[in-house]
Parts: sequence; C-alpha cells; structure tokens
Amino acid sequence: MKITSTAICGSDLHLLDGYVPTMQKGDVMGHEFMGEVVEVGSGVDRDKLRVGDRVVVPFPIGCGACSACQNELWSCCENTNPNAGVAEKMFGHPVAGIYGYSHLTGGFAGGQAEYARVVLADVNPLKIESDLSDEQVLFLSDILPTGYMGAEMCDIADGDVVAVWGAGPVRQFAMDSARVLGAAKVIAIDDVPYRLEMAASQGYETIHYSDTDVRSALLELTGGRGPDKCIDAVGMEATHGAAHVDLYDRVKQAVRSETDRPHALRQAITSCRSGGIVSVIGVYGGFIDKFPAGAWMNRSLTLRTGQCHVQRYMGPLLDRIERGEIDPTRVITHRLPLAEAPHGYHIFKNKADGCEKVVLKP
Amino acid sequence: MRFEPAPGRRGTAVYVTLRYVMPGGALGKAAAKYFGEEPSQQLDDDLRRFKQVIEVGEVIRSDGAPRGKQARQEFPQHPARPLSDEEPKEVMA
Repeated sequence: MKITSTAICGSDLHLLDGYVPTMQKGDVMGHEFMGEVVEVGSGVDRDKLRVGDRVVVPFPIGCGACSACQNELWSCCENTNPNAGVAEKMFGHPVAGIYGYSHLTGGFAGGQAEYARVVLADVNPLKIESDLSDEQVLFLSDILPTGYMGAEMCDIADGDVVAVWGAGPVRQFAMDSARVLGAAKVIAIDDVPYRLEMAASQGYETIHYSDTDVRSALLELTGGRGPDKCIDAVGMEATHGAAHVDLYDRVKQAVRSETDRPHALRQAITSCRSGGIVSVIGVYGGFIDKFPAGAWMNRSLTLRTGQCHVQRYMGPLLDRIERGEIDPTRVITHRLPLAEAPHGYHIFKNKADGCEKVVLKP
Repeated sequence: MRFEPAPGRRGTAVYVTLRYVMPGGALGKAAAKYFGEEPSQQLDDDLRRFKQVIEVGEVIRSDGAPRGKQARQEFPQHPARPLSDEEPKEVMA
C-alpha cells in the first residue's frame, strides 16, 4: 500500500530508548498507518480487497484461523510471528507479529514509510468507504482501540470513578472511552501541564503528580474509597514524583536487573478501591520489581491487561466516530512531512512544543 | 507421528517422536544448538510451519525472516525493511 498518513506512538519511544530487545540497525519503524492499496498479492480474496481501496491497518497481525484469532485475541495470534522462538523465551508463549516493532514481534517492516507490505491482507485491514478524513480514522490502527480496550476491561458500571495514569494520546482516548462507557467521573494523572490541560478541557479532573500526593488526592475525589477502576496507560518507562523511588528503579533498569519501571502500576494497585479493577494498557516488556502483591491479593483486586486486539474494535469504533461520539482528531498537535520524523520523535519524547500526537505525511 | 484430538476437542495435537544419535556427545549437542541445528529446534521449526500451512495456507514470512520460522535465523536477522531486488536470492539461499 501507498501510505497517506502515519503516526508516532508512545510505544515507539520504548524501542527508541532501547528498552525493547531485538531491534536492529535498518529496521523500519511505525505501527500506526493507513493508505491506498496499490498492488494485491495473488492469495488475497479480490472480493475483500482491491487496488484503490482505502484502508487502515491494525498493528497486530492476525491470521484469523488459529484458536487465539477465533477467540478474538488477535494480538496473541499463534501463527503470524516468524520469530515465535524468541517471543516464547521472553513471554512463555509466542505473541502475534506486529509491524515495525522489533524482531521479537516478527521483524515486519513498519509504516513510517512511503509504502508498506501488508501481510494476510484479506484478514486484517479495515476498509474505509465513507468520506471521513485520514485524521479521523488513522488512530483506529492502534491508540483509539487501545484506549478503548483499557476502559472496556474495567467493566465500568454507572457511577464509577475511573482514574487514568498518564495524559498522553492513548490515555486521552482511555478517558473518552471511560466516559462513553458510563463513568461518572474521570481523573487524569500526569506531570505535564499541557497534557493535563487537554484532559481538563474535556471536563476530566486532573492530578499533577509532581506537586500532589496522588493517593491523598484520589481519596479526596472519591469520598475516601479510591477510584473504582484504575487504568495504567504508562508502562515500563514511568517517572515517579519521589526522587528516591525514581532513582531506585532507574538504576535497576539501567543495569538491567529489572527491565521496566512500574511506578504507575504500583500506584494504581495501591490506590484502587477494594474489589476494584486495575486495567493495564501501558506496555511492559520484561520483568518488574516490588510488585505490590499484598495490596492486590488482600483487597480483592482484579488485574486485567493485554496488547490491544485491535481487529475486535475497529468496526464498532468506526461507527462511534461516524456518530460523532468520539473525536480522535482532538489529540493531534503536530502534522509533519515524513522527512521531519526525527524532529517529531524529538518533540514527542521530550514533551516539547506542546507535543501530544504527531501525524506524519509521506 | 501421531495425530490426536486436543483436550476438549479443540483442534488436533500433533506428536512427533524422533530417535537420533548426536555425534560429539554433549559438546556436539551444544554446538548444534548454537547453530539452531539441534533436532528439537528443527522439529519446532517444522511443526510451527506445518501449523501455519494447515491453518493459514502459507508459511508466514516477514522482512526480517524471509524464510519464515527458523531457529538458526532468529536474531540477528535481516533488518525489518523490504528486501532489495538483489537480496532475495542471497537471503533465501
């Protein structure tokens, strides 16, 4: 396909920063992309996909036939990762192939490019047949379904208070989804003022974790019980307001005695009300330290997680976009030509120039 | 080779029994494993590719693994970028 729009994702930063093993020099990155079909392989069903079709590509590659795909666990596909052996060593069982996301997930060239080869093309891409703009549908490839799945895993009941760690793009969509699914109050936790302002502009409560004690603030906002549902949308490169805790995990991560810094996960578990659900969509790659198992066990918490099963959500979320229930374009702050991708990465990583989401145009 | 219904009749389990004598003893085995030539590794490759062919109809290939699942070539491998016109012969050889 010829790519018309692609984006930089927070999880690209984990690759860039060297925390996901098996990246190689020359790898093409990018797992959020869409465009126009310019050539169709001989094995592809012509009734499903033709030259000229406009498609959004989900980041996990599903085969559609294995027991995981049949159960709509697309990101756990048993067949699409040719490097299943490496994945099995890291994770116990293999995971699906993912575009532009290290050799651990298959070594597939990504979509921050002019063209991309999409495999199993009659199973995965979503055809866009309406006149919605690229920017309205591009995020169906990853961050909108990922945020939505984070909220869906919370089994939100009417009146629930949902707290979201992080206020970057996926997190904004987790907040929007929590509201759409019936949350009474949504709370955003971050330390970047412009990102908190973006959440506040949608009517969400905000907590700035560098100058506030998060647990106390959450108790204040929830009548002393804690949020009913907590979403860790931060993952392995969290920062912590308390310098000594931050230092502890940074040192351990630097010497690889833990691979991930799980501050958000720890705080979500200790903050969640008893019997609540902690939903994890932030990316973890390996091993963590000081997991608060006591809080988790003794207070009857449920921990749910997963790389997003994007194919499961693309259709229903496209309907929600068409009905105007969710506006994915609200997180875009920068539109750059593909040639300026390094600058895009720089401002996104360093939270410079008010950067929330970068869309690249080849 | 044995084909048996998987638990709960969820698919078919394939069992392969292979008897072999590895030359060179423990050292030979370690060397074979290093190069991905140990029979259990080759069998793992074959069985995964077999499952792909049966379920999907093809061997799944990526830019990094143009020959599909192969213990010998898991890392490092070809970079995850499209092969050039000259490369396929070389990489697929």
